[in-house]
Amino acid sequence: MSPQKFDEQVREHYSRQRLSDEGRDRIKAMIRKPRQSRSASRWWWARTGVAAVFVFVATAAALWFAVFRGNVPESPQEITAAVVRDAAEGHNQQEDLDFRAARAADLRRAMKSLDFTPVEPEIMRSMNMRLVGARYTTLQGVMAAQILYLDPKGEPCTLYQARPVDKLARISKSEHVIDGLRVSVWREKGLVMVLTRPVA
Amino acid sequence: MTRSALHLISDRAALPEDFDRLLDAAYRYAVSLTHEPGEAEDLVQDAALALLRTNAEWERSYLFVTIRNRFIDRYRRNRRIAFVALEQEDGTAVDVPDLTFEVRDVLETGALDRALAQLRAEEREALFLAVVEGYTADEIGKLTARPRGTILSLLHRAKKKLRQLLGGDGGATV
Repeated sequence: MSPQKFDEQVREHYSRQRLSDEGRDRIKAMIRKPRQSRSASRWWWARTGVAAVFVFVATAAALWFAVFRGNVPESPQEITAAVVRDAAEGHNQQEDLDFRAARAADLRRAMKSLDFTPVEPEIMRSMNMRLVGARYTTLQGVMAAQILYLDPKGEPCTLYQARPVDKLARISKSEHVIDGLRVSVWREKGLVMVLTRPVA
Repeated sequence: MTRSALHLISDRAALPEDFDRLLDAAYRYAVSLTHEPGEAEDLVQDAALALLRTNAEWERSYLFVTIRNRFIDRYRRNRRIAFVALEQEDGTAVDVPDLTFEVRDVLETGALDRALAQLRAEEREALFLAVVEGYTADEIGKLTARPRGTILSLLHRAKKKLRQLLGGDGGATV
């Protein structure tokens, strides 16, 4: 046989190398299968993503409604009930007083940060309540004075006073019993009054 | 035959028309690395799977690089080959070596196959890419991430060994 160029023989050598039919079929099958699964996977992720977004939005909306709408008192009754709960809770917590005062005039001088002037309701005098002191607080987000009295038996009673603004503008006169306390809500001298005292 | 670098990086064998040809080219390249048909087939399959996982294009150069990376990973792990650092020639006056020396029919006798088996993987790879695929030394360097001088050195060594094994004067001595 005549001499041949070496590189031609190398090319011929490699050109004879062919992937087996089995190997070729295996790779093609592998391509077809993963492509389907990748496509399915993509579809699955897309659906899951949409579902996740939907669930997230729905949950957020529900939470928003619960926190900012569902639990927000709107009617006068709801607002009053919420104020009553606040008042009873504040009474039971017995937070430290910001000011000590024996007379209403002293309290008026001391509580300069209020946007109103605290007054002493008629009922306090008629019930022989003794003024002890007061602290700043809020009722349903409205600035208020939390004034501590002692009744003739020495039982603490808490009087809240606030301007009838925002939600408190819709508060209604009422009497409530909650957590062993009697809570009275009324308006007097241009202020909302909430008195919390032990049930007799 | 020479091919431009642009051709090297954009020679895409699209599915399904050229896919069989691409698979054969990939397989031949794998054979040049392993010199063992079964292992070459495994390499091609591994590389195809890797491309599928990354959703990459069925591009010839990318498939080759993937096969090469798989080969290196596999054989490094098995400690079956060691890529020997070659002295890099300055290469200023050197071009792709002459591989057109004449030999008697070393193909049919199996002498060529046995001689190729004597080469190191990187020598066989460089030879394959230069002679069969028609890549220039620069293009091989880009594909294999080696300097051009190293590629030329590999080709020279491959040629020298094959001349010794096959007999450049026409006699197959393997």
